[in-house]
Amino acid sequence: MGIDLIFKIAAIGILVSVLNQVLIRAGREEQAMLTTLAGLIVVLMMVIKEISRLFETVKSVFNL
Amino acid sequence: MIKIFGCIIVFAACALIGYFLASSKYERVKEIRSFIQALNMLETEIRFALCTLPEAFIKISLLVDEKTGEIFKLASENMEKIKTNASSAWKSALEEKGTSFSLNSEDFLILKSLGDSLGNSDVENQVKSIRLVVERLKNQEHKAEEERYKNGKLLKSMGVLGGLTLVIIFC
Repeated sequence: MGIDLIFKIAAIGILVSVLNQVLIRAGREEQAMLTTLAGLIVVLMMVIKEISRLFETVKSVFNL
Repeated sequence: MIKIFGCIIVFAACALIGYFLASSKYERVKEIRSFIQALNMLETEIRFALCTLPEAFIKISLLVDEKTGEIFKLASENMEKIKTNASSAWKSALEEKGTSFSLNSEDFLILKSLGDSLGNSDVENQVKSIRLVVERLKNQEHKAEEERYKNGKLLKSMGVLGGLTLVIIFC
């Protein structure tokens, strides 16, 4: 769990919100929605490895 | 080090793609305007100067800017050297040089329709049809302005932002 991941996720969050606003201002709301969803999916994919490691750690801590 | 260099190249490429796509919209507005100007001059020439069409075309090609002038020059050359009549010279000049313009297919239809009346009727009718084509082109210019306003900025910012996103996700 490096600090780089947190910075990357923060940067992607900022970019997605800027893209969202630009697209909404240009009148293309459906595409704004799509980019928001896409950003969400990308971040989820980046985070899912860490989540699975978290579950492994929890399982090993409680000897389940 | 090389990684940073690669990121910069990817970002620059995406930003340039955005600028390039947006610039064709800008170019279209400018080109329609220069065609309107050229056709106004053509009307003046036909109405008042009473010179032949090839001469009129050459005069106009010197007065408007480069790209538009080339079509007129090519049409005039077609008429002089290959001795085709005015409308097919105009149409073939449009088809040859047409790809280097960022004009729509609608714009080309309007310009081609000019060819149908060139050299085929008397002064009054030709002037009337030139007026008609100029009016339609002005309409197109309005629409192109709107489109440029809506999409030009959008495409530029999307290029830059998309490049940033790619760089951040993959570097």
